Amino acid sequence: MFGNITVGQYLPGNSVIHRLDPRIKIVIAVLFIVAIFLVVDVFGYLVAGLFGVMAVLLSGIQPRVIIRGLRPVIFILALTVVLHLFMNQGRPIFSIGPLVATWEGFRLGLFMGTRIVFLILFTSLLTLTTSPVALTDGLERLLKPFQRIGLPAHELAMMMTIALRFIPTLLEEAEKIMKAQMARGADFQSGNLFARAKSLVPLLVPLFVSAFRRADELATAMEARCYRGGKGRTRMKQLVAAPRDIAALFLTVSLVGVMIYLRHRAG
Amino acid sequence: MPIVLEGITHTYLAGTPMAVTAIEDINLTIADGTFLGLIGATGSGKSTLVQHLNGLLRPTRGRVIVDGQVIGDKGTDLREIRRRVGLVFQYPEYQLFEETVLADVSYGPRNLGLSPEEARQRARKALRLVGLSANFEERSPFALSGGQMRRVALAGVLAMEPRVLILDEPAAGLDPRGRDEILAYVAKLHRELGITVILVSHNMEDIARYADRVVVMSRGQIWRQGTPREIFALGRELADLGLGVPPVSQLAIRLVEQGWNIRRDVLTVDEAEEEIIGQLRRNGRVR
Repeated sequence: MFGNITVGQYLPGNSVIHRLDPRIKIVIAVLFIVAIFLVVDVFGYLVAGLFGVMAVLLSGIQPRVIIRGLRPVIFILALTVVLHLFMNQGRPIFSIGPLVATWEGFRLGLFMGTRIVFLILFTSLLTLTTSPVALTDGLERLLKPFQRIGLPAHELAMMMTIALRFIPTLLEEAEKIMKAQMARGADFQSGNLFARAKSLVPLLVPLFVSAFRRADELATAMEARCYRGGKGRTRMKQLVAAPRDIAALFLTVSLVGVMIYLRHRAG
Repeated sequence: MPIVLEGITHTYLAGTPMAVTAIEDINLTIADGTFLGLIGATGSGKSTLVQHLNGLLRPTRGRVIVDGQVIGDKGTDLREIRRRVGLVFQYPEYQLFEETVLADVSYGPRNLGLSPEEARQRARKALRLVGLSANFEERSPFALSGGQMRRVALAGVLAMEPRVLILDEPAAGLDPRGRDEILAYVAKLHRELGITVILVSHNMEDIARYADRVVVMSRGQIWRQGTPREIFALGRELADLGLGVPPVSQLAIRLVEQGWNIRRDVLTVDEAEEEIIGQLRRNGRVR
């Protein structure tokens, strides 16, 4: 029932992209997003597209899997295109009552839509090729400098790791409770919105109770193994930037450079 | 009317690379009034199988027929099937959600469309069946002991007045006393109300003690079925499946293997005592 949720899914592999240092990968993703926001014309998207396709090919992940990541945002995409279509001045295509669709709006809508597609696809490539543990580990390292100004980097990373770890567990639990209530004649599918919301109470209460119980047990288990926060904590896997990391970073910085150049040329 | 399984197969995530066939080509008829013990190693498909009996899972292939109605057919009321076939999951106390025990137990009857008063009546009756007195009715289910919570959850299913009761490891995690209590209540329901019981358990002693029929599952298929006596006399073969036999049966089998002339299919301590003393008498060691 909940098996088709792919957001944040990790596909283990051994490609160059998989083996990149997670810190570098996060930085690259951020730089890529910056580059996407610098794009002003189709040519910019071509360059970014080329970069993206290269990354996907190197990752060895089937394009189908990455494109599937778009499914949850189809509505936002459609909304973006439609809003731009009608909300711009220019040469009209057709009109519905007072709303006039314009060519300029259509162009801008496509432009913005493409931007969203790029953002989603590239960030899903990040999560698809990086295990949650590596991801939070990288994030912790990147946030470390901000610890001086009071940012609890380790705690944030630990919370993220735990949250990611328990998503499948809680989904499984939800399904189990749902079945148990269905065995008692519960109906989660029919009725109006109000009735449906009400029918969720027998699901949510036990789910929360069990989430709190799990949290409590986990805290005890961590304490039993002498966990006391990030202070003085050493790591089993030390992150070391390899030449390929530097190369990937250099490539991405170049991409941002190209984008800045294209933007200036376009004026 | 019995429950009939006709060649059912269930594949999880069918059509994806992660597809797993949990049960395959199961043919089984469960007659009314049976106390059926369902045993098998972890992952042998027991839980998947029992979820088909009330339509929580649909077979990928094959048919499930409850009281002559095929699950999944048009005109088969799933809710009615679920009323007749009560399923108590593993650790059922985790499904409790209401503020009071009485409200929680009457959740099932309320779902059947009974009036609040009728639902409460049924709930009270169900609570008596599992030995919980009126004092418990207004207490919070979350403030009870583990064994009591489990009995409240059992009452929650009994309140629907099912004719078939399926229990998936009902005694898991309970202390010996809680275990004996809950199973004794189940046995009483079977005896006094004639309810068909399907007991999924890893505890062979419990199965030997209560079941009149045993189905052994292995790797998604029915490996053997028969009376507890027939099944537990298999001894070593069961052990090869990762299952055991009750300690007394084990003792009898070992003694037979060492040349004792006693029956192999011993199920209870009393039987074993009789057999062993009989043999010793014959040998003249005991008068």
